[in-house]
Amino acid sequence: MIEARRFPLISRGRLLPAAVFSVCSVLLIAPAAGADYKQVPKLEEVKDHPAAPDFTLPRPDGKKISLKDYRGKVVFLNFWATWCESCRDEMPAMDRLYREFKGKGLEIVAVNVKDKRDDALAFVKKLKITYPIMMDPEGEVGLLYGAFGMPVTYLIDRKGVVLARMWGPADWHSPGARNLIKTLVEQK
Amino acid sequence: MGISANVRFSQQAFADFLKLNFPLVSDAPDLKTIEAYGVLIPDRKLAQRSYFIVDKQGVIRYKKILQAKEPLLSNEALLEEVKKLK
Repeated sequence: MIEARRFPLISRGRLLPAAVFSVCSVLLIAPAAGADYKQVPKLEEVKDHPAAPDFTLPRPDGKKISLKDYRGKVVFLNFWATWCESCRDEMPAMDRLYREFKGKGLEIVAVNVKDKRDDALAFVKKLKITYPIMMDPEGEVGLLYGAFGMPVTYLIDRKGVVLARMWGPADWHSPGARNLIKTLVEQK
Repeated sequence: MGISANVRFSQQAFADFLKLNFPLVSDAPDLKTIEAYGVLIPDRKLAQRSYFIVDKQGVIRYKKILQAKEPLLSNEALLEEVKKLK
């Protein structure tokens, strides 16, 4: 069941210290403070910044990778499919973003949803994609992350907290997108 | 209110995607509510698509459990059932 948000009762005498502590807590734990998500049109900040659900999927070579393996890096989690023309449009820009930031704390996790392995590999080879892909043959992880249409992209911070989400494609190597990713990877 | 076996994160994505104005409630992981209403598909750990109308006293006054490939009920049909409660 969805949990109701509960607030502690605070007596009047303790109100000020508690308020100060609360403000400090917010300042200390606010994820990606200063990140301007509007730099990427249609990118939505995800309210409440939930923890990104972990999952484990195979790469095309069969090696299994978990999302939590990337803890400590900013994760660009993208869901795509070979039939998706918008995916084809945005993936080259994603690759340019990856090559610019992969040594600076960014990791792209590109989950292919429900395609055959060989089809997915041929697709990324044709587009000369260099970032790693993972296979989700049953679409279970896609469902978990709401990939009802594709592409869908999530930005996740170094602690595994969901920051923002994009339904649909974007120019991920635009000045705004590059500036946003730069802001995110510079936050430790 | 919509209840499903999906986890909360997935439901929130679904609600955001469709811009829903009513709450979605997750019955994961124990699925007790779905089972209590008699609509659990045990081997798939999913709920059958179903509709329940509960009156102000908390009494179920209408239920419809859809079978596989059976079309959804229209909003008009559901509102007609609600009107019968008055």
